[in-house]
Amino acid sequence: MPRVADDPKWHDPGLLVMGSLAEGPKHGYAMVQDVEQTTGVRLGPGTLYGAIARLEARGLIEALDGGESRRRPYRLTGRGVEVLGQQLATMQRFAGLGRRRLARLSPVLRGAS
Amino acid sequence: MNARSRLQRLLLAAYPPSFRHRYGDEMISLIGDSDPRWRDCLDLICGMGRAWTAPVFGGAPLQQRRLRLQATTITVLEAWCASLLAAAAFSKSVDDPPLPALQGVASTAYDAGGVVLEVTAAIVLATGFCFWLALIVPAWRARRREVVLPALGPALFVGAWLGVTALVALFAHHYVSRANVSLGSPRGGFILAVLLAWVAVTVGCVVGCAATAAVALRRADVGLTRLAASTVVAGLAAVGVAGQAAAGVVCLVALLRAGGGLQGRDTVFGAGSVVVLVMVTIIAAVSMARGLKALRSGPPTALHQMT
Repeated sequence: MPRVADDPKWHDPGLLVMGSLAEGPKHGYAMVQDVEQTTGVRLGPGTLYGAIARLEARGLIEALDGGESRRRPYRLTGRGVEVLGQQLATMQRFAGLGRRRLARLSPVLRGAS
Repeated sequence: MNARSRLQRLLLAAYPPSFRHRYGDEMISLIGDSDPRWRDCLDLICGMGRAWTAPVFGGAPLQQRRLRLQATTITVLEAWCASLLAAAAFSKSVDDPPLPALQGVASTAYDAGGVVLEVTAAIVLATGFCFWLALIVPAWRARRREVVLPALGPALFVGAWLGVTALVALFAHHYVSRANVSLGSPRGGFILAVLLAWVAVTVGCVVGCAATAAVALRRADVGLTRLAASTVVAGLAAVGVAGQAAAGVVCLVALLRAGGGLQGRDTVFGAGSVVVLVMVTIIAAVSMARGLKALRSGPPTALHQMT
């Protein structure tokens, strides 16, 4: 069983790839375009396929048959869906907590200034 | 195709073979579809560094183990070949002619390094020959030219090196000794050129042996049991490389402390050789650690499923 510490984090290109594949199967170029449009992050070819290789080795994504085309599509596996869901839930909890703390902190900061 | 695209394809060719085999076509397709940018070249260089230093192998768990053991065997083989060249360069710098300070601890360490090299070489060459036979005979029978041709490489390179070395020895015996020609004489330039050519042939043959053996091993799709055995032999080779590096460091330090030992160009050659020995030791040790982890990670019965 892979360690939880190896799961992709927000800053990890792996999470961006998995987030893109949550929409449905995509090949490399479509992932680059989707990630750039949705997050503003442009994944280079080395970063993208490094992330794809790690995710595939951990069984979080899998390659589909691309036929004759060199553009091979990928999709999330069951475990990939589970891990992505856990990561996003953690991020959501963290974001909510951070917002509430910021809301409490803001009046104090305004008073201090 | 512009310069950036060409550079990107060139960088892609420098990725590890297993990575290129799995993702190379897709990456070429991505590079062709995208606008070429210089930043992507840098990204490819960083990705290449990660792919070499922290390789990831895809496929089923057994296939991942097989590829890991294959990578360990090849990496340690190449590290051992590099250590041979470094040991030869070190020997040239301290023992040809022997330095006055090569005695005591330095001499003991130098001799110990030589013994380690000879024992390791005997083990690697004997087992390597058995592996080579086990690889080339079935490939020959199955008419797998893509395996047979690179597998013949090491034999051809060794034969070529022996032939060239015999010619150089004849040249040294008949021309240099009888004519009493030294490097300082007017004909010394010719002798130096012959020696340098022989050194270049030696380096080329060692590199050629390592490269063709690695290609043959990758293409032969060797089973997990044999790769497990080759990983054990690679472990012995890695210990030998580490022993040579340790002996080299002790000998070098003793020579430098003795004073009046290494001087000028020999210091650079000697220290450079030891640095190479230490570096290949680290590379072999890291690869061995990963190989042994893969070897221990599965049940023993799994070894027989892919033979």
